[in-house]
Amino acid sequence: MFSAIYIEEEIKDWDRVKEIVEPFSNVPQIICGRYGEVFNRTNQNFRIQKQTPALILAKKYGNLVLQAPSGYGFEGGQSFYFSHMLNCIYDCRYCFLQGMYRSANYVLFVNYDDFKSQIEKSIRSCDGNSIYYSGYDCDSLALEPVSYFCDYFLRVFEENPSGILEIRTKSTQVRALLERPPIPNCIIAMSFSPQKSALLFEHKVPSIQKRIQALEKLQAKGWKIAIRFEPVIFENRLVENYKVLFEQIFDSLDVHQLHSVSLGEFRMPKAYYKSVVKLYPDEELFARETKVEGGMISLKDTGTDSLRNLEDMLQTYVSHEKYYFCG
Amino acid sequence: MESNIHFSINFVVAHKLEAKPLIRHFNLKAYTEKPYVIFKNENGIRLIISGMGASNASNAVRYISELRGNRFGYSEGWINVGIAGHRDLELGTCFLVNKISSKKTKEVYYPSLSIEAKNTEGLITVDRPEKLYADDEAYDMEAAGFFKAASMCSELELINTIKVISDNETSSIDNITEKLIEDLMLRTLSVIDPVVSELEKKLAILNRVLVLENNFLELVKSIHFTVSQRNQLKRLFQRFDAMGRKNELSRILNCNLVSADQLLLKLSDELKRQVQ
Repeated sequence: MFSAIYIEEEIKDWDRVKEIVEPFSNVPQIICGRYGEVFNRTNQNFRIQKQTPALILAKKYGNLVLQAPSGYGFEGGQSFYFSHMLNCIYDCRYCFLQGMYRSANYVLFVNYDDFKSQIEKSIRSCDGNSIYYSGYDCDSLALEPVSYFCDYFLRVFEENPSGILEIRTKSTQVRALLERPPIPNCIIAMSFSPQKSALLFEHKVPSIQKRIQALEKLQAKGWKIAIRFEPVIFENRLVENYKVLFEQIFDSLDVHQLHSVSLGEFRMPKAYYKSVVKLYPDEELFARETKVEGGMISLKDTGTDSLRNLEDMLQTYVSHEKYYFCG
Repeated sequence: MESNIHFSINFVVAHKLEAKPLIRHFNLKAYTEKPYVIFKNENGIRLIISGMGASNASNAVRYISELRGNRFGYSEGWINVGIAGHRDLELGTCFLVNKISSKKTKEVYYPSLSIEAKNTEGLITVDRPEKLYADDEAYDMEAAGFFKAASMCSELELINTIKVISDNETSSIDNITEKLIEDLMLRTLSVIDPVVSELEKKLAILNRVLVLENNFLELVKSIHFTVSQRNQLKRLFQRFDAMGRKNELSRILNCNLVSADQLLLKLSDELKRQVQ
């Protein structure tokens, strides 16, 4: 699973660290100073490293809870995000993380108690509800058997009901959720692309069918579910492909019980895009015609007002109140 | 259109005795004598005898990286192989190095490992042979200099250090003989071969597009391009390739367009006619 496990000297004796590394006795364990010595080095190649990523166990200092970018997420209070992990076990070709980080190694920040303090401080500082997104710099569920993220953070939010947690994921690692009672202020938000895009661009991601099955189980258990159709990648027969996906999903789930459904197109900061193209010059996705707006690169629409058409179609399945556009 | 892809993997070895089994194994032939003894074969493998010490290893890396000019910017693989001491590891134990610390400069390097690499150790590079084995790590005299220099001319994922234990607390450095070195180095081959094969795969990924670009540039070498135009052209080549439209690209390049502007415009226009 990992080519190596790097452990910061400062935390090497922590119980959580020992618990995490225990099942990986065959994997080289290497003590480092600060995680940046491994993660932020120059001359790393993300693409090559992605083939054999290492796990870095670290302690995060400062900026544990950050303001969410404008336009990110749903309405319902002030929005924040926190990243207990950097990078993702999946390999989605459209992912901005490829352009953001020099390294494809996974960094897991294990000072959960510090995150807890910061989250609680943030919740207390807000009038009414506040929203906390997890899964911005990683997939929060995908590494659950190693990180025990849910095990810890669900308890934090259970104790702080005015904080709303969204766990953004493409993972089917839902056992930790199914084995405990649901909490009303946690939303499991699953991302989907139509079959064609999923096969082309979402490497190592569980199939659409398996993800739907995981959501069915969660919904049956009483967890709040959200659906994220992001990123939309323009292609021929876009609307038809999405129609198939919408039917597949909304026929399987109780639409009335869904928390929210969103749509967002493929966009990436220009600098990240440039880095990603350097890594994957042979990738068809990056050979397509693009446009630049406000420093963001997006694909040119292959049809006429495709996003609008998708929005219209989507709202035949879900009510207007449950829908938002992520842009 | 695409020519065979030959890439360099450079072995940096301190002493000729350590190099002998590798020279035989890879069928390397003498290439230069001065200032460094270098061997190479037809498959892109080169071996340089650096001399002992981190500074010599560093200089040897720089020398061989500049030797061929590498004007196309192809990535190259690097492997430092040699003997090392350790407090209690058995003589003949071979391993990939997972961390290199320079005792002199205090700098630390972390070579990338593959999923298959189970036998790995930390290594301390020292200036003089280590007889006390103070830390629970292996000791050598070159790796830190090698890694630092190699990381300046290559991606970190292409740099490896492989060591074999030649001395420990029960068998001192004074017991090392020519015969022992040869026997020990023979054992490294089982570690070296998978590393070489892994490097070849990585180099194939990293260099494929560069080879492609250079092959297509050859077709339009009579046209003058500014640096910026050349970069635009290369990106257009990449996009045709990524879209599976290389035949179409070849046809356009063979159209005898006379100016850089004409060619760039033609290629951009054709790409806009996307085939979905």
